[in-house]
Amino acid sequence: MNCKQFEIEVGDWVKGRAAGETSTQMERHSAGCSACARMEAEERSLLAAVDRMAAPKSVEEMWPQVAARLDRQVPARRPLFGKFAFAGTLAAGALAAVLFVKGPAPVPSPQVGTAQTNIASNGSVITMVAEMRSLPDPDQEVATIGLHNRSNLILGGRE
Amino acid sequence: MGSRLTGAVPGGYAPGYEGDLTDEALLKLCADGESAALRELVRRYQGPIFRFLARMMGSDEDAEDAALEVFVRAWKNAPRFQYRAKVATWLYRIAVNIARDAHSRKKARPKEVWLEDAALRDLSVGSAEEDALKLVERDMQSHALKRALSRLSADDRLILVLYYLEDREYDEIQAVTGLSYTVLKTRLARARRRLRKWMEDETSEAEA
Repeated sequence: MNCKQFEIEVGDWVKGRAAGETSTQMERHSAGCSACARMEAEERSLLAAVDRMAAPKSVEEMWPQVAARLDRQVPARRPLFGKFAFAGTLAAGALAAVLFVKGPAPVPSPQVGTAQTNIASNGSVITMVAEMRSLPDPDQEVATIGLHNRSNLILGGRE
Repeated sequence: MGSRLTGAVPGGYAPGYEGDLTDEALLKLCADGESAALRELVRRYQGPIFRFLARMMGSDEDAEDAALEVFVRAWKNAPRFQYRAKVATWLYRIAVNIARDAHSRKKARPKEVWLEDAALRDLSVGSAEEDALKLVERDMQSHALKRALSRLSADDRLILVLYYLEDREYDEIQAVTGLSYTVLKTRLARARRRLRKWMEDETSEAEA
């Protein structure tokens, strides 16, 4: 054990965290080295001061303030469709190409939900959105996204 | 959009979350927009995160504001959390980043508010049974420690706060700081040396 090693280990030793062998070496070194003995005394004094240090004030319930801050912000969202984004884009592209050749598809069943009411005048887009919704969808808000956000839906984009 | 945060569940609270779910499960619910899950995370961690920030920033007021920001950032970033670290460690990392940002913004040392009015009053009152001089000396040491900590760099203070004031094990400090065991021990020794130097200066100033 030299003085440099002593300095590195002194904190653990005084805290009682040092292993048995290290502890013995520390004691032996401190007994024979005045500088390190002083360092040991300072470390004990430091620990005593830490123990006496007053804890910060007790914290009050933070949730109301956190909730207030969140209500003022738009939370981040998961990437739409995640790893299926590329496949979804391809599928939507292919579907759009078919629709372009064959003309508008018939209006689908009412399960399309909110999106349908926003875009009722455009049957092809409704079909596309219905197709996209059949993919795994980690973002619960997709169903409420209106027509203005459909590029995000198709491209897997984010706000 | 905001209404789903507190409006999804009346008052943002869903009975049954307390202690039932792991931190990881709660964070997954946060990622799905479940504000009651965040409320439970706030309940679990508001105390430790606030105390840690108060020690890092040297001000209860700044720490409270920063702690609120920790949970806001956790909510916003929950969908991107990879679950490679513990949620608690992640929250501490967010707290460290916020404390560092605040420190950089101020371009100054944190307020030296460790010895507040109440502490000063206690210092002068003393105890009838105790030796008044010893009491004052002990409080001076504690005061010197607080002031010395506030003079250190954010990196030194982070390591010392975690090791001494939070009494964390090395693996926990490593998780928060990202340092290897060897580097951490070396930096701890260096930070301790600087702390002692500042404490000596503080003590001599007080005695002068």
